[in-house]
Amino acid sequence: MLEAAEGDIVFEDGKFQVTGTDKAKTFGEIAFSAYVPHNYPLETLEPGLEETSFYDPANFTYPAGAYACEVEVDPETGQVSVCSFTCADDFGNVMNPMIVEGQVHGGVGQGIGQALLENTSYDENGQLLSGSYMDYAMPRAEDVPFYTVDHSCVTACTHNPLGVKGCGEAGAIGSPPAVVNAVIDALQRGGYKHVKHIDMPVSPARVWAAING
Amino acid sequence: MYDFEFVKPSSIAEAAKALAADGAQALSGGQTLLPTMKQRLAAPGTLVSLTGIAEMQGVCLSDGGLHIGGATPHAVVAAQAKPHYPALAALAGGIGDPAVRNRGTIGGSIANNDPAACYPSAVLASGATVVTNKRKIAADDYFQGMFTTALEEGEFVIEVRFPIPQKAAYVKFNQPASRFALTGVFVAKFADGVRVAVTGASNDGVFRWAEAEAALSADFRAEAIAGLVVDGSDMISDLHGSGAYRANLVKVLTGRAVSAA
Repeated sequence: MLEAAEGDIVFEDGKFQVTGTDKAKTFGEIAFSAYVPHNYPLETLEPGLEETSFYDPANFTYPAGAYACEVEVDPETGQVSVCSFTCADDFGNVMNPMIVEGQVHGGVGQGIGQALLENTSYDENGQLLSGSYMDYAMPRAEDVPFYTVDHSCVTACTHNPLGVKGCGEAGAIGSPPAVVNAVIDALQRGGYKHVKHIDMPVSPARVWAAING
Repeated sequence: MYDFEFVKPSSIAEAAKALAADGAQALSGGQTLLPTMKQRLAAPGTLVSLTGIAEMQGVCLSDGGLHIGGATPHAVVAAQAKPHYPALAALAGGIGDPAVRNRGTIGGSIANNDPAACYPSAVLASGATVVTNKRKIAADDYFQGMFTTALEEGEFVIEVRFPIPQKAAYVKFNQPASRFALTGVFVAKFADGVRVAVTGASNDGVFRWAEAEAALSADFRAEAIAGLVVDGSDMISDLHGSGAYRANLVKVLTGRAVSAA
Protein backbone atom coordinates (compact mmCIF):
# COMPACT_ATOMS: atom_id res chain seq x y z
CA MET A 1 0.00 0.00 0.00
CA LEU A 2 2.84 2.35 0.79
CA GLU A 3 5.27 0.83 -1.72
CA ALA A 4 8.11 0.93 0.77
CA ALA A 5 10.35 -1.53 2.60
CA GLU A 6 9.18 -2.64 6.03
CA GLY A 7 12.21 -1.02 7.67
CA ASP A 8 11.31 2.39 6.23
CA ILE A 9 7.83 2.52 7.84
CA VAL A 10 7.19 3.94 11.27
CA PHE A 11 3.93 3.86 13.28
CA GLU A 12 3.15 7.14 14.99
CA ASP A 13 -0.06 8.92 16.08
CA GLY A 14 -2.26 6.20 14.61
CA LYS A 15 -0.57 6.42 11.21
CA PHE A 16 1.90 4.30 9.27
CA GLN A 17 4.34 6.65 7.58
CA VAL A 18 7.23 6.14 5.18
CA THR A 19 10.22 7.80 6.82
CA GLY A 20 11.20 11.10 5.27
CA THR A 21 8.09 11.35 3.03
CA ASP A 22 4.48 12.46 3.42
CA LYS A 23 3.21 9.03 2.34
CA ALA A 24 1.04 7.61 5.14
CA LYS A 25 -1.95 5.36 5.80
CA THR A 26 -4.12 5.50 8.88
CA PHE A 27 -4.72 2.46 11.07
CA GLY A 28 -8.30 2.39 9.82
CA GLU A 29 -7.22 2.32 6.15
CA ILE A 30 -4.81 -0.56 6.83
CA ALA A 31 -7.47 -2.53 8.72
CA PHE A 32 -10.03 -1.91 5.94
CA SER A 33 -7.72 -3.23 3.24
CA ALA A 34 -6.94 -6.31 5.34
CA TYR A 35 -10.66 -7.24 5.03
CA VAL A 36 -11.13 -6.04 1.40
CA PRO A 37 -8.10 -7.77 -0.07
CA HIS A 38 -8.60 -7.09 -3.81
CA ASN A 39 -4.95 -6.11 -4.29
CA TYR A 40 -3.53 -8.11 -1.42
CA PRO A 41 -0.46 -10.36 -1.86
CA LEU A 42 -2.60 -13.43 -1.19
CA GLU A 43 0.27 -15.87 -1.91
CA THR A 44 2.35 -14.54 0.95
CA LEU A 45 -0.14 -12.92 3.32
CA GLU A 46 -3.42 -14.16 4.68
CA PRO A 47 -6.24 -11.57 4.72
CA GLY A 48 -7.78 -10.41 8.01
CA LEU A 49 -6.29 -8.63 10.97
CA GLU A 50 -6.21 -10.37 14.34
CA GLU A 51 -3.99 -10.02 17.32
CA THR A 52 -4.21 -11.18 20.90
CA SER A 53 -2.12 -9.89 23.72
CA PHE A 54 -2.17 -10.49 27.43
CA TYR A 55 -1.68 -8.01 30.20
CA ASP A 56 0.05 -9.42 33.23
CA PRO A 57 -0.54 -7.04 36.12
CA ALA A 58 2.27 -6.57 38.60
CA ASN A 59 -0.11 -7.27 41.48
CA PHE A 60 -3.79 -7.84 42.33
CA THR A 61 -6.05 -4.88 42.88
CA TYR A 62 -7.39 -4.20 46.35
CA PRO A 63 -10.57 -2.17 46.66
CA ALA A 64 -11.45 -0.97 50.16
CA GLY A 65 -14.80 -0.05 51.62
CA ALA A 66 -16.96 0.45 54.67
CA TYR A 67 -20.57 -0.76 54.93
CA ALA A 68 -23.19 0.44 57.40
CA CYS A 69 -26.48 -1.37 58.00
CA GLU A 70 -29.44 -0.37 60.17
CA VAL A 71 -31.90 -3.06 61.24
CA GLU A 72 -34.98 -3.35 63.39
CA VAL A 73 -35.54 -6.51 65.41
CA ASP A 74 -38.90 -7.60 66.78
CA PRO A 75 -37.87 -9.35 70.01
CA GLU A 76 -41.21 -11.16 70.35
CA THR A 77 -40.92 -12.96 67.00
CA GLY A 78 -37.22 -12.55 66.12
CA GLN A 79 -38.11 -10.92 62.81
CA VAL A 80 -35.32 -8.73 61.40
CA SER A 81 -35.96 -5.98 58.88
CA VAL A 82 -33.23 -4.05 57.12
CA CYS A 83 -34.12 -0.34 57.31
CA SER A 84 -31.17 1.24 55.55
CA PHE A 85 -27.90 0.22 53.99
CA THR A 86 -25.03 2.49 53.00
CA CYS A 87 -21.92 1.42 51.11
CA ALA A 88 -18.76 3.49 50.66
CA ASP A 89 -16.19 1.91 48.36
CA ASP A 90 -12.86 3.02 46.94
CA PHE A 91 -12.74 1.29 43.56
CA GLY A 92 -9.98 3.53 42.18
CA ASN A 93 -10.92 5.25 38.94
CA VAL A 94 -14.47 4.33 37.95
CA MET A 95 -15.08 4.01 34.20
CA ASN A 96 -18.87 3.49 34.29
CA PRO A 97 -20.50 4.53 37.58
CA MET A 98 -23.90 3.09 36.68
CA ILE A 99 -22.76 -0.50 36.24
CA VAL A 100 -20.46 -0.25 39.25
CA GLU A 101 -23.42 0.82 41.43
CA GLY A 102 -25.54 -1.95 39.94
CA GLN A 103 -22.83 -4.45 40.78
CA VAL A 104 -22.78 -3.22 44.40
CA HIS A 105 -26.60 -3.32 44.61
CA GLY A 106 -26.64 -6.93 43.43
CA GLY A 107 -23.89 -7.92 45.83
CA VAL A 108 -25.60 -6.32 48.81
CA GLY A 109 -28.89 -8.03 47.92
CA GLN A 110 -27.09 -11.35 47.77
CA GLY A 111 -25.35 -10.61 51.07
CA ILE A 112 -28.61 -9.70 52.83
CA GLY A 113 -30.07 -12.96 51.55
CA GLN A 114 -27.09 -14.87 52.87
CA ALA A 115 -27.21 -13.08 56.23
CA LEU A 116 -30.94 -13.42 56.88
CA LEU A 117 -32.58 -15.97 54.60
CA GLU A 118 -30.71 -18.44 52.43
CA ASN A 119 -30.03 -21.82 53.96
CA THR A 120 -28.96 -25.13 52.48
CA SER A 121 -30.17 -27.50 55.14
CA TYR A 122 -29.76 -31.29 55.29
CA ASP A 123 -31.27 -33.83 57.65
CA GLU A 124 -29.24 -36.54 59.39
CA ASN A 125 -29.62 -38.85 56.38
CA GLY A 126 -28.18 -36.32 53.97
CA GLN A 127 -31.58 -35.44 52.51
CA LEU A 128 -31.73 -31.83 51.33
CA LEU A 129 -34.54 -30.12 53.25
CA SER A 130 -34.43 -26.84 51.36
CA GLY A 131 -34.65 -28.31 47.87
CA SER A 132 -37.28 -25.94 46.46
CA TYR A 133 -38.30 -22.32 46.90
CA MET A 134 -41.01 -23.52 49.29
CA ASP A 135 -38.19 -23.97 51.83
CA TYR A 136 -35.16 -22.20 50.37
CA ALA A 137 -35.67 -18.53 51.18
CA MET A 138 -34.41 -16.26 48.41
CA PRO A 139 -34.34 -12.53 49.09
CA ARG A 140 -37.18 -10.67 47.36
CA ALA A 141 -37.63 -6.99 46.62
CA GLU A 142 -39.47 -6.45 49.91
CA ASP A 143 -36.54 -7.91 51.88
CA VAL A 144 -34.05 -5.23 50.85
CA PRO A 145 -34.07 -1.45 51.36
CA PHE A 146 -33.06 1.27 48.93
CA TYR A 147 -29.27 1.43 49.02
CA THR A 148 -27.02 4.44 49.35
CA VAL A 149 -23.86 3.77 47.34
CA ASP A 150 -20.86 6.08 47.42
CA HIS A 151 -17.60 5.82 45.47
CA SER A 152 -16.42 9.39 45.85
CA CYS A 153 -13.21 8.33 47.57
CA VAL A 154 -10.88 7.56 44.65
CA THR A 155 -7.39 6.26 45.28
CA ALA A 156 -6.10 5.29 41.84
CA CYS A 157 -4.52 1.87 41.64
CA THR A 158 -0.78 2.29 41.06
CA HIS A 159 0.00 -0.87 39.13
CA ASN A 160 -2.37 -0.77 36.17
CA PRO A 161 -2.55 1.97 33.54
CA LEU A 162 -6.22 2.78 34.15
CA GLY A 163 -5.87 3.08 37.93
CA VAL A 164 -8.88 0.82 38.38
CA LYS A 165 -9.73 -1.78 41.05
CA GLY A 166 -12.11 -4.72 41.12
CA CYS A 167 -15.70 -4.09 42.28
CA GLY A 168 -17.46 -7.37 41.50
CA GLU A 169 -17.60 -8.98 44.92
CA ALA A 170 -17.40 -5.95 47.19
CA GLY A 171 -21.13 -5.82 47.93
CA ALA A 172 -21.42 -9.53 48.65
CA ILE A 173 -18.35 -9.48 50.90
CA GLY A 174 -19.18 -6.41 52.95
CA SER A 175 -22.88 -6.92 53.52
CA PRO A 176 -23.26 -10.19 55.53
CA PRO A 177 -21.08 -9.08 58.46
CA ALA A 178 -22.69 -5.62 58.39
CA VAL A 179 -26.18 -7.16 58.67
CA VAL A 180 -25.29 -9.69 61.38
CA ASN A 181 -23.34 -7.12 63.41
CA ALA A 182 -26.31 -4.76 63.17
CA VAL A 183 -28.62 -7.46 64.55
CA ILE A 184 -26.27 -8.22 67.44
CA ASP A 185 -25.87 -4.50 68.14
CA ALA A 186 -29.64 -3.98 68.11
CA LEU A 187 -30.13 -6.84 70.57
CA GLN A 188 -27.36 -5.55 72.85
CA ARG A 189 -28.89 -2.06 72.86
CA GLY A 190 -32.29 -3.61 73.50
CA GLY A 191 -30.97 -5.13 76.71
CA TYR A 192 -30.23 -8.66 75.48
CA LYS A 193 -26.59 -8.41 76.58
CA HIS A 194 -26.03 -12.16 76.54
CA VAL A 195 -26.46 -12.37 72.74
CA LYS A 196 -22.99 -12.15 71.23
CA HIS A 197 -23.29 -14.38 68.16
CA ILE A 198 -25.95 -15.85 65.88
CA ASP A 199 -25.10 -18.19 63.00
CA MET A 200 -26.21 -17.19 59.51
CA PRO A 201 -28.85 -17.18 58.28
CA VAL A 202 -30.13 -15.01 61.10
CA SER A 203 -33.67 -16.35 60.79
CA PRO A 204 -36.52 -15.22 63.06
CA ALA A 205 -36.43 -18.56 64.89
CA ARG A 206 -32.68 -18.26 65.53
CA VAL A 207 -32.96 -14.67 66.77
CA TRP A 208 -35.79 -15.67 69.10
CA ALA A 209 -33.80 -18.70 70.34
CA ALA A 210 -30.74 -16.48 70.98
CA ILE A 211 -32.84 -13.98 72.95
CA ASN A 212 -34.45 -16.74 75.00
CA GLY A 213 -31.36 -18.97 75.19
CA MET B 1 -47.97 -35.28 34.61
CA TYR B 2 -49.85 -38.47 33.66
CA ASP B 3 -52.69 -38.57 31.19
CA PHE B 4 -56.17 -37.81 32.59
CA GLU B 5 -59.72 -37.02 31.50
CA PHE B 6 -61.23 -33.60 32.24
CA VAL B 7 -64.89 -32.74 32.79
CA LYS B 8 -66.41 -29.41 33.78
CA PRO B 9 -70.01 -29.88 34.95
CA SER B 10 -72.33 -26.88 35.25
CA SER B 11 -74.49 -28.13 38.12
CA ILE B 12 -73.94 -29.63 41.56
CA ALA B 13 -75.90 -32.75 40.60
CA GLU B 14 -73.75 -33.36 37.51
CA ALA B 15 -70.57 -32.81 39.53
CA ALA B 16 -71.74 -35.27 42.20
CA LYS B 17 -72.47 -37.84 39.50
CA ALA B 18 -69.08 -37.36 37.85
CA LEU B 19 -67.30 -37.63 41.19
CA ALA B 20 -69.04 -40.92 41.99
CA ALA B 21 -67.07 -42.60 39.18
CA ASP B 22 -63.93 -44.63 39.87
CA GLY B 23 -60.72 -42.56 39.84
CA ALA B 24 -62.54 -39.22 39.79
CA GLN B 25 -60.96 -36.31 41.65
CA ALA B 26 -62.47 -32.90 42.35
CA LEU B 27 -60.49 -29.93 41.01
CA SER B 28 -61.12 -26.41 42.23
CA GLY B 29 -58.34 -23.80 41.84
CA GLY B 30 -55.69 -26.51 41.56
CA GLN B 31 -53.10 -24.68 43.65
CA THR B 32 -52.10 -27.88 45.44
CA LEU B 33 -53.49 -30.63 43.20
CA LEU B 34 -51.89 -29.47 39.92
CA PRO B 35 -48.32 -29.15 41.28
CA THR B 36 -48.79 -32.56 42.89
CA MET B 37 -49.86 -34.01 39.54
CA LYS B 38 -46.97 -32.31 37.74
CA GLN B 39 -44.58 -34.00 40.15
CA ARG B 40 -46.35 -37.31 39.37
CA LEU B 41 -47.29 -37.72 43.01
CA ALA B 42 -50.96 -37.99 42.03
CA ALA B 43 -52.53 -39.64 39.01
CA PRO B 44 -56.31 -39.13 39.02
CA GLY B 45 -58.14 -40.77 36.11
CA THR B 46 -60.65 -37.94 35.73
CA LEU B 47 -60.51 -34.38 37.00
CA VAL B 48 -63.93 -32.94 37.77
CA SER B 49 -63.68 -29.15 37.70
CA LEU B 50 -65.95 -27.38 40.19
CA THR B 51 -65.35 -23.90 38.82
CA GLY B 52 -68.15 -23.93 36.22
CA ILE B 53 -71.04 -24.21 38.70
CA ALA B 54 -72.86 -20.90 39.19
CA GLU B 55 -74.20 -21.69 42.72
CA MET B 56 -70.64 -22.29 43.93
CA GLN B 57 -69.41 -18.81 43.00
CA GLY B 58 -69.53 -15.53 44.86
CA VAL B 59 -70.08 -13.85 48.20
CA CYS B 60 -73.51 -12.91 49.60
CA LEU B 61 -75.13 -11.83 52.84
CA SER B 62 -77.87 -14.19 53.98
CA ASP B 63 -79.59 -14.78 57.33
CA GLY B 64 -77.17 -12.32 58.95
CA GLY B 65 -74.16 -14.37 57.87
CA LEU B 66 -71.74 -14.26 54.98
CA HIS B 67 -72.12 -17.13 52.51
CA ILE B 68 -69.19 -17.84 50.24
CA GLY B 69 -69.44 -20.24 47.32
CA GLY B 70 -66.99 -23.12 47.50
CA ALA B 71 -65.34 -22.26 44.18
CA THR B 72 -64.93 -18.55 44.93
CA PRO B 73 -61.32 -17.41 44.42
CA HIS B 74 -59.48 -15.68 47.26
CA ALA B 75 -59.25 -12.41 45.30
CA VAL B 76 -63.06 -12.26 45.01
CA VAL B 77 -63.46 -12.86 48.75
CA ALA B 78 -60.82 -10.19 49.47
CA ALA B 79 -62.82 -7.66 47.44
CA GLN B 80 -66.44 -8.64 48.15
CA ALA B 81 -66.28 -9.68 51.83
CA LYS B 82 -64.54 -6.47 52.86
CA PRO B 83 -67.63 -4.39 53.79
CA HIS B 84 -69.21 -7.27 55.74
CA TYR B 85 -66.35 -9.21 57.32
CA PRO B 86 -63.10 -7.24 56.94
CA ALA B 87 -60.92 -9.70 58.89
CA LEU B 88 -61.95 -12.52 56.55
CA ALA B 89 -61.37 -10.33 53.49
CA ALA B 90 -57.92 -9.38 54.79
CA LEU B 91 -57.05 -13.03 55.32
CA ALA B 92 -58.10 -13.88 51.75
CA GLY B 93 -56.12 -10.91 50.42
CA GLY B 94 -52.98 -12.11 52.19
CA ILE B 95 -52.89 -15.64 50.78
CA GLY B 96 -50.02 -16.33 48.37
CA ASP B 97 -49.61 -13.83 45.53
CA PRO B 98 -52.05 -12.39 42.95
CA ALA B 99 -51.79 -15.45 40.70
CA VAL B 100 -52.63 -17.78 43.60
CA ARG B 101 -55.46 -15.52 44.80
CA ASN B 102 -57.09 -15.48 41.38
CA ARG B 103 -57.05 -19.27 41.02
CA GLY B 104 -57.15 -20.74 44.52
CA THR B 105 -60.58 -21.15 46.13
CA ILE B 106 -61.96 -21.35 49.65
CA GLY B 107 -63.46 -24.80 49.05
CA GLY B 108 -60.18 -26.12 47.68
CA SER B 109 -58.28 -24.74 50.64
CA ILE B 110 -60.47 -26.25 53.33
CA ALA B 111 -60.92 -29.55 51.46
CA ASN B 112 -57.13 -29.94 51.34
CA ASN B 113 -56.72 -28.68 54.95
CA ASP B 114 -53.00 -27.97 54.65
CA PRO B 115 -51.66 -27.45 58.19
CA ALA B 116 -50.16 -24.10 57.10
CA ALA B 117 -53.18 -22.83 55.14
CA CYS B 118 -54.86 -19.60 56.27
CA TYR B 119 -58.57 -20.32 55.60
CA PRO B 120 -59.07 -23.19 58.10
CA SER B 121 -58.35 -20.77 60.97
CA ALA B 122 -61.08 -18.38 59.81
CA VAL B 123 -63.61 -21.16 59.33
CA LEU B 124 -62.88 -22.63 62.76
CA ALA B 125 -62.63 -19.33 64.66
CA SER B 126 -65.85 -18.06 63.09
CA GLY B 127 -67.70 -21.23 63.94
CA ALA B 128 -68.68 -21.41 60.28
CA THR B 129 -70.80 -24.13 58.68
CA VAL B 130 -69.40 -26.10 55.77
CA VAL B 131 -72.16 -26.98 53.31
CA THR B 132 -71.44 -29.94 51.05
CA ASN B 133 -73.41 -31.68 48.32
CA LYS B 134 -74.64 -34.08 51.01
CA ARG B 135 -74.98 -32.22 54.34
CA LYS B 136 -74.04 -29.32 56.59
CA ILE B 137 -70.97 -29.78 58.83
CA ALA B 138 -70.06 -27.56 61.79
CA ALA B 139 -66.48 -26.28 61.64
CA ASP B 140 -65.71 -27.98 64.95
CA ASP B 141 -66.56 -31.35 63.36
CA TYR B 142 -65.09 -30.62 59.93
CA PHE B 143 -61.32 -30.32 60.58
CA GLN B 144 -59.94 -33.69 61.72
CA GLY B 145 -56.15 -33.27 61.58
CA MET B 146 -53.45 -32.46 59.07
CA PHE B 147 -54.82 -32.88 55.50
CA THR B 148 -57.84 -34.65 57.00
CA THR B 149 -61.47 -33.50 57.02
CA ALA B 150 -64.95 -34.90 57.53
CA LEU B 151 -65.46 -34.99 53.75
CA GLU B 152 -66.30 -38.45 52.43
CA GLU B 153 -65.64 -39.95 49.01
CA GLY B 154 -67.54 -37.99 46.37
CA GLU B 155 -68.38 -35.18 48.80
CA PHE B 156 -67.34 -31.60 48.04
CA VAL B 157 -67.72 -28.11 49.53
CA ILE B 158 -70.54 -26.12 47.96
CA GLU B 159 -70.55 -23.18 50.32
CA VAL B 160 -69.11 -21.93 53.60
CA ARG B 161 -71.47 -19.96 55.86
CA PHE B 162 -69.74 -17.55 58.22
CA PRO B 163 -71.48 -15.96 61.20
CA ILE B 164 -70.18 -12.38 61.39
CA PRO B 165 -68.39 -11.59 64.66
CA GLN B 166 -68.50 -8.26 66.48
CA LYS B 167 -64.73 -8.00 66.20
CA ALA B 168 -62.13 -10.17 64.51
CA ALA B 169 -58.60 -10.20 63.17
CA TYR B 170 -56.18 -12.63 61.59
CA VAL B 171 -52.45 -12.23 62.12
CA LYS B 172 -49.98 -14.54 60.48
CA PHE B 173 -46.24 -14.87 60.65
CA ASN B 174 -44.83 -15.81 57.27
CA GLN B 175 -42.60 -18.79 56.73
CA PRO B 176 -39.59 -17.01 55.20
CA ALA B 177 -39.43 -19.03 51.97
CA SER B 178 -42.96 -20.13 51.02
CA ARG B 179 -44.78 -17.24 52.77
CA PHE B 180 -47.34 -19.75 54.00
CA ALA B 181 -48.32 -19.22 57.63
CA LEU B 182 -45.45 -20.42 59.82
CA THR B 183 -48.14 -19.76 62.41
CA GLY B 184 -51.37 -17.82 62.02
CA VAL B 185 -54.04 -16.92 64.57
CA PHE B 186 -57.64 -15.91 63.91
CA VAL B 187 -59.49 -14.31 66.81
CA ALA B 188 -63.26 -13.73 66.58
CA LYS B 189 -65.36 -12.06 69.27
CA PHE B 190 -69.08 -12.90 69.31
CA ALA B 191 -71.82 -11.81 71.72
CA ASP B 192 -71.59 -15.18 73.48
CA GLY B 193 -67.80 -15.49 73.64
CA VAL B 194 -64.48 -15.43 71.87
CA ARG B 195 -63.11 -18.10 69.55
CA VAL B 196 -59.38 -18.45 68.81
CA ALA B 197 -58.11 -20.73 66.01
CA VAL B 198 -54.46 -21.44 65.26
CA THR B 199 -53.00 -22.64 61.96
CA GLY B 200 -49.46 -23.63 60.99
CA ALA B 201 -48.36 -24.66 64.47
CA SER B 202 -49.78 -28.05 65.37
CA ASN B 203 -49.02 -31.51 64.02
CA ASP B 204 -52.80 -32.03 64.27
CA GLY B 205 -53.59 -29.13 61.93
CA VAL B 206 -55.79 -26.17 62.78
CA PHE B 207 -56.97 -26.09 66.41
CA ARG B 208 -58.83 -23.92 68.92
CA TRP B 209 -56.89 -22.50 71.86
CA ALA B 210 -59.39 -23.08 74.63
CA GLU B 211 -57.48 -21.32 77.46
CA ALA B 212 -57.16 -18.14 75.43
CA GLU B 213 -60.84 -18.29 74.47
CA ALA B 214 -61.82 -18.45 78.15
CA ALA B 215 -59.47 -15.63 79.14
CA LEU B 216 -60.52 -13.39 76.24
CA SER B 217 -64.23 -14.08 76.72
CA ALA B 218 -63.82 -12.63 80.22
CA ASP B 219 -61.55 -9.76 79.17
CA PHE B 220 -60.99 -9.00 75.48
CA ARG B 221 -57.56 -7.41 75.76
CA ALA B 222 -54.13 -8.72 74.77
CA GLU B 223 -53.08 -8.50 78.43
CA ALA B 224 -55.68 -11.12 79.32
CA ILE B 225 -53.56 -13.93 77.88
CA ALA B 226 -50.24 -12.71 79.33
CA GLY B 227 -50.18 -15.40 82.00
CA LEU B 228 -51.04 -18.32 79.70
CA VAL B 229 -48.44 -20.89 78.71
CA VAL B 230 -48.54 -22.67 75.33
CA ASP B 231 -47.05 -26.15 75.21
CA GLY B 232 -44.80 -26.53 72.17
CA SER B 233 -43.90 -30.19 72.67
CA ASP B 234 -46.46 -31.46 70.13
CA MET B 235 -46.05 -28.60 67.68
CA ILE B 236 -44.46 -28.72 64.23
CA SER B 237 -40.67 -28.54 64.37
CA ASP B 238 -38.76 -27.97 61.12
CA LEU B 239 -35.92 -25.96 59.64
CA HIS B 240 -37.99 -22.75 59.93
CA GLY B 241 -38.71 -23.04 63.63
CA SER B 242 -38.95 -25.38 66.59
CA GLY B 243 -42.11 -26.36 68.37
CA ALA B 244 -41.14 -23.98 71.18
CA TYR B 245 -40.78 -21.12 68.68
CA ARG B 246 -44.20 -21.84 67.19
CA ALA B 247 -45.71 -22.01 70.68
CA ASN B 248 -44.27 -18.54 71.32
CA LEU B 249 -45.76 -17.29 68.04
CA VAL B 250 -49.19 -18.64 69.00
CA LYS B 251 -49.24 -16.43 72.08
CA VAL B 252 -47.63 -13.37 70.46
CA LEU B 253 -49.89 -13.47 67.40
CA THR B 254 -53.01 -14.06 69.51
CA GLY B 255 -52.20 -10.90 71.47
CA ARG B 256 -51.62 -8.95 68.28
CA ALA B 257 -54.85 -10.23 66.73
CA VAL B 258 -56.81 -9.12 69.81
CA SER B 259 -55.20 -5.67 69.60
CA ALA B 260 -55.93 -5.45 65.87
CA ALA B 261 -59.56 -6.65 66.14
